[in-house]
Amino acid sequence: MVAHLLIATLGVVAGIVFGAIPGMTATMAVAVFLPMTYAYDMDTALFLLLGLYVGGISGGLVPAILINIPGTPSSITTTFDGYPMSKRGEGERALKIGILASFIGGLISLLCLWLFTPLLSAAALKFSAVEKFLIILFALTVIAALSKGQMLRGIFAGFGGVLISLCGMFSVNNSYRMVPAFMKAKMQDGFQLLPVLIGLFAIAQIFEEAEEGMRFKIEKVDTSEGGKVTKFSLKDFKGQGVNLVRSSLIGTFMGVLPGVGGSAASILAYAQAKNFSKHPELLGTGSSEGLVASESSNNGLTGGALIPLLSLGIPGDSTTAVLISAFMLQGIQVGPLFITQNPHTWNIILIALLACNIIMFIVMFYPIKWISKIIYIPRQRLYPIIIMICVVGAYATKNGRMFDAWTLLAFGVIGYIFGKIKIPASCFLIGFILGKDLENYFIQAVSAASGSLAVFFTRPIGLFIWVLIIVSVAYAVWDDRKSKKKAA
Amino acid sequence: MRKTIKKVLAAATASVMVLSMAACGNNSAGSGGAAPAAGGGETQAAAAAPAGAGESSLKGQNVRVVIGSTSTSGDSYMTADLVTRYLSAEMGFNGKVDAIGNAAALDEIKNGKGDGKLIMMFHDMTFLSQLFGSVDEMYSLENMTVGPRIGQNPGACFGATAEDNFATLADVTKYLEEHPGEPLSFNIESGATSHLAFVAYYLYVKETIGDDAAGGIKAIVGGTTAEKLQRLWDRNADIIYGDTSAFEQYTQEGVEDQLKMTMFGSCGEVNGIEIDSMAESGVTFNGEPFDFAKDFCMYFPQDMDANVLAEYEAAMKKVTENPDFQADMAKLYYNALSADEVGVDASKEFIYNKREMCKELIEKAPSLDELAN
Repeated sequence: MVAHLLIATLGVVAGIVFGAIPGMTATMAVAVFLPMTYAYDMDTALFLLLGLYVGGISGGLVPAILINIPGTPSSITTTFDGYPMSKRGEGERALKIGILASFIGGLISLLCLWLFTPLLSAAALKFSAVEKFLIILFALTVIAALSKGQMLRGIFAGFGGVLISLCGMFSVNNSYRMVPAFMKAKMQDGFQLLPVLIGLFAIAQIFEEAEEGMRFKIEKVDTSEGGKVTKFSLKDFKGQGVNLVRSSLIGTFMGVLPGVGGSAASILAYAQAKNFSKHPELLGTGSSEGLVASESSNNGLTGGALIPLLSLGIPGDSTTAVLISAFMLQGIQVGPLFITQNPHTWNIILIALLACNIIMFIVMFYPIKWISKIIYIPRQRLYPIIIMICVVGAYATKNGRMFDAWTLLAFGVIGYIFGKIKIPASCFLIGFILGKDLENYFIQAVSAASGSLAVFFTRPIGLFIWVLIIVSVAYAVWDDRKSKKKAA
Repeated sequence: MRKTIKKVLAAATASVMVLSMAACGNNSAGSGGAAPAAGGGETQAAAAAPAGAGESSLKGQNVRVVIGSTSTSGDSYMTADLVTRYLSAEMGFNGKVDAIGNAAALDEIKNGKGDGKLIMMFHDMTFLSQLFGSVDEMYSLENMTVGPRIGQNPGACFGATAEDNFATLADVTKYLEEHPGEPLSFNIESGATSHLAFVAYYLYVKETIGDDAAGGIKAIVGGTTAEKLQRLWDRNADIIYGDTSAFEQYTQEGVEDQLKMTMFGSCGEVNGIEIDSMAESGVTFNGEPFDFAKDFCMYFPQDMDANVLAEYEAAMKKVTENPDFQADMAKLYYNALSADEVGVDASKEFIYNKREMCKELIEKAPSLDELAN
């Protein structure tokens, strides 16, 4: 057991490093370490791989909070409140809030995995392409909430993101869309998420700061505590219980739905945190509420994504798709009979996931005060390293394509221009992340209904999601108008 | 303070570079596939195959193997990885498989040097993608060098829910005959091997049973294996196309009714699995029994060095006769070939003939747009 814990620690630490480096993800971490498991038995392999998974998902919050660059796509929403906190000198506090929220999110999802796997996998089966399309549409409503005060620009950016995500070959008829003839070979799969994400966030930000001479300073604090920098305490979670549980459950359930990615989980959880918040105007300005929502939901995904994998044989996200190979290496078939035929392995998964979450908390929470000092490194020294990491990360996205490195640079320039003309890059990115899934599930739903759009209005779960969509958009519009009136 | 920062940055840069190297060697996986082969995957024997032990002009050099898929859990990766390990041992090079996708792999081969350090290992999509028009003419077989064939996956098959009681493809044909015009939907992928198997079956029904029966056949196009399974479970598709290794688990006793499946109409005889192939169900094309196993082959740049190609041919002949390799292929339910079959001339003839057959099939078959309506 000690050996298992040691290997889990190795996995968690390596996963955190992968997650913290922009351009590298939990999926990459698991894929890189997978060959090591040739030499391991199943139990040891699971401790290592689940450690990498939990660490990889958790590590993304570090650069998101400290330098406004999401380490992984699912930590985009962490930047919204984490970085403003860092800018006012509360980086350590933000990191600790994020880590604790991640830990609790991971535990809640583990509990769901342990107790409700049959129930949740049955629920997942009820989610056809219709419901998945509507869930993605619901997640997209966060654009309305995020673009308060400049809704037209936000919606424009969101649609722009959806449009750009559809560049490449349309798999239904193998036709290229929005691709010049000479780019066909490079753009069969369109633009990859990671180079676009890092370009819009990291490179654009570096351009902006370079323009200003890299004069980053910690802002003068203007918090409700009377101008003092607030340190982390458990009081940060006071009144956050509902937000924490709701966001963790959203993350878990989004993980349960195969094909609906982790980024959608944190986006949806963030949108709901804003919708239900007593102070929605504070979200996006450095509120712990937004941070808790984002981090608890993306770690909530870990247990959730294992549910369809272990009960249906279908991976819940890209990382669990790689995990399938680990089971194959050991001759274990994941699918509807997995839990009944492999009770020992099932128990090991639960124990390993619990151990990895605890280890993640320990190895991140206590040393984080030193890591948070990164923010004090002069930008002119820090950014060259970040650029190198970003280029390598982009290049590695599809196993070594220079096109992805150029994509990174191009979207860096686009992000810089967006900043100049006040187009919210986050809205563009959310559209880009969700665009392909939106189209995919729309086509699946419509083709199964022989082209009838009525299919979106005939299923009870679908109707319920429609209500949520309408309420969410109506609230965002009302809130936008209210704030404009106030400003006037 | 400055010195400390410099030291920290130097250490950080070094570790980043190490990690970067690791990341560049990563193989990202596709996100949609359902579980492949039971008991499959890389074997200990193959994993332990010592690179660098053998002799060739490539000894000690790095060889990049690109595949036309971006998934590291599908048959393309499994086959290429296995063959690369054995070839690495046989020829003494350090082989590495990169799952970069079809268009990118074809582009690499088109622009690469024919020094043997770049290989594309992939199945029939190499030429099908050009036939279906998803890549340009410049990526046709004529602009590359066909190398030795490396193996065969006959495991692609049709699947249906158990409640439909289709045990063989002949049962489906009988159903179509008894219910003329009644729609029966097939979820397939466009421009892929499933497309060909589907249109071959359509043409067979049309020719042998008649237009009314064939008129009931409807195509639902697109989706990963996972998405196809979900369509089947939602009863939004009647029949789906995938791999026996992905479907087998849902055919077992104890699986709940909504998920329970039957599989039939494989593309050839599958080792270790009892399943009727398309040919065994009577499907023919041009009067010949129709089998369409996925044939994996090596492809090199057009200006490939003849001596190095001969070295690859000799090495592949040894590998394919190695009982360990044959056992590893069998564990994945794939077929190893004979030494004669992997010869370069025989391989080229086989691949070109297969392309001609596919071309004829594509020309005769209606478009998926027609069959989807």
